[in-house]
Amino acid sequence: MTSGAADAAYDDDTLIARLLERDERAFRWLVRQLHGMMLAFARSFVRDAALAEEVVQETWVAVIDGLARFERRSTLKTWIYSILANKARTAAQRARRTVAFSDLGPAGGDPVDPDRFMANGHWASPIEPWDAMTPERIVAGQHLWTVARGAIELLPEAQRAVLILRDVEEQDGPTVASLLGISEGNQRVLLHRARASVRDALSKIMTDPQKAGPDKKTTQTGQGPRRQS
Amino acid sequence: MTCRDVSRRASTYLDEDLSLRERLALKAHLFICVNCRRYVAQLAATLNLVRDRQWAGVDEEAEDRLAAMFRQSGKSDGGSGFTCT
Ligand SMILES: [Zn+2]
Repeated sequence: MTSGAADAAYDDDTLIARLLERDERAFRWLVRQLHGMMLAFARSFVRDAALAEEVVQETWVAVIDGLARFERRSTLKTWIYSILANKARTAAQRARRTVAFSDLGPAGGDPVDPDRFMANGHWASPIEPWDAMTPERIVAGQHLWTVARGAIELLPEAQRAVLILRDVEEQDGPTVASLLGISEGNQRVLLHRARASVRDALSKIMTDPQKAGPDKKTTQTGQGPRRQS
Repeated sequence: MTCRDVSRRASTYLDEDLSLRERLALKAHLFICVNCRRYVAQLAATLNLVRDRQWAGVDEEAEDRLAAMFRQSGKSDGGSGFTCT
C-alpha cells in the first residue's frame, strides 16, 4: 500500500546531510512526511487555518535556516516540532488565544464517558465486533484513514496535539509533555481520551453492517449518548 | 477489575506501561469478558491505523511552494534571506 521506492525512508543522519547539500528530493520527502500533520498540530494552537499555514511555513523557514546549527541532541522530527510548538504558541498569544493544554475537560481523567458503564462497572451496552477483514473493508482502507483523520481533526485541541505527537509522530511521553508544557500525567490522560474518541469514530463504520442496519432497516445506530468534550 | 477499570487502563496496557500486577488483572478480565476483549482489540487497531504514516501527506501545491523556498534559500550562501526569529 506504500507508494514505492521513490519514497524510501531516510535516516536522520543521511537526511540532514542531504538537506545540507541542498538536495531538493530529500527536502520534498521530509515535507511529505511532516507537513500535513504539522498543520493539524498548529491548528491545535491557532484555530484559524490560514494562520496555521503561516506558522507551519515559518517553521520550515526556520528549519532550513537553522539546520546547519542543529546539534542533534534530539531527533530531527522532535526538533522541528519544538520549533513549530514555539511558533504556534507565539502566534496564539498574538491572536490573544489562550490554549489551555492542561485543561482536561469534564469527567476528570476518564478516557471513556462514564455514562457508558452501569453502576457495577460493566459496559451498559455491548461492544460490537469490528468486521474489519471483509474484502470491502480492505478496499475501504483509504476511507478508514479519512475517518480516522476526520476524527483527529474533531478532537478537542489539547487531545489532538498530544495524539499527533504521540501516535502519529511517535514521540515519547516526556518529550510530548515538555513540548506542550504540561505534566506527564496530563499528557497521558489527554492521549487516552483522544485514542478512545478516534476508536469510537472508527467503530461507527467498522461494526457489522447487518447489525448496524445499513439501509435504515433499524434506526438504531451505534451512536450512544456521547458528547464531545 | 471492572470493564470501566479496563477502559481506563487499556491505553496504558497497549503502551506496555502497566505494572505487572495491573497487567495480570487486566488480562484476567479480558479472559472472561468479550466486550473488553473487543474494546482493547479495537483500540489497538485504531493505534495501528493512526501510526500508519501513509495518510500524512501534503497537497502538491504546498509541497512545490516549500520546495521553491528551499531552492531559493540555497542561492544566497548560508543565510537564506528568509530569516525570521
Ligand atoms: Zn469487561
